[in-house]
Amino acid sequence: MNLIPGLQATASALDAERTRMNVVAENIANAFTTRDANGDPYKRKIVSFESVLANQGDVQSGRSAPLYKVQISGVTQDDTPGKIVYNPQHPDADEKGMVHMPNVESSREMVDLIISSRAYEANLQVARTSRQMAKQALTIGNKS
Amino acid sequence: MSFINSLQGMGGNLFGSSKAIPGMDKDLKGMLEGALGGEGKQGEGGGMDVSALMNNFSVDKLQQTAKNQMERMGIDTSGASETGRSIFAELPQMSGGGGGDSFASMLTGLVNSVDAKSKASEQAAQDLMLGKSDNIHQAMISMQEASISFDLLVQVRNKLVDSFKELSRMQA
Repeated sequence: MNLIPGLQATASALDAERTRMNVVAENIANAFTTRDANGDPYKRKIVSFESVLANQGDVQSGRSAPLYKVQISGVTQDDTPGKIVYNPQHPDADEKGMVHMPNVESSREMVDLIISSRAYEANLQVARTSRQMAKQALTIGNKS
Repeated sequence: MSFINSLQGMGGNLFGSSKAIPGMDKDLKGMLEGALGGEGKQGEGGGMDVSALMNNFSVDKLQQTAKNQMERMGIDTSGASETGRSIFAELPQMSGGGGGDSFASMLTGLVNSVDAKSKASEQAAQDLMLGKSDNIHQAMISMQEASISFDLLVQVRNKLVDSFKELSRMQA
């Protein structure tokens, strides 16, 4: 029984946006991490989405169209080189006193953060509106 | 949705059983159509009968579930449950004989699925509060689903009670 239309896709999109938010948070948190598990500077991570068929639908009778959900297709690394700064006191500095910094740019991450939060908001609005639709349909039989 | 169809079917079935009372067909038909929002027309000729329906239909189960739901929502159920019981208790005496239980099983199915949704939402909220899950939106969505499907159940029940009231008013 699926009384509220569109919720399946919306729920998956909310899940996906949560993951993107997690990755953005990870990028911002590691903006100054010069050493990861392999001893290299942190590399910025990028989330990509893909759509998957959630429900074949009933195309022949025309009652419902196939439904596609969103899912995370992968979290990939951004391999552009980061800044190199002169800081000879730093424990991760090389023999010339240069430190390899992560390739995270705070300004870009903030933009990603806002995009992610707005996308989450949009999906919440879809959930609210479709719930409202179902609720209004239930008032058809009400008197006056 | 199939509920409207079932309501139509029920209109016809109630009507069918009234043929035992001569000359009442037209009045009852009009009344039932009024009570069911003018949807009784297509259901004519269904082979079901109120008494059979009410015998097969487990009234206690519906009431228990509805009561549980209401208690969870913090609604006082003492009055409501009494009304429901007396209505369902009176119905079987209205006419006799017949078979078929598709409407009863449909209604039981509705009650079961509403109950399942409510349990799922409760579980999601509990998991969230206990820290087993961090899926706020999923919990909220399942709560909304539970609330909407309960509203639907209430509306179906209201329609049933309405049509019964129409019937009982006719006898007076």
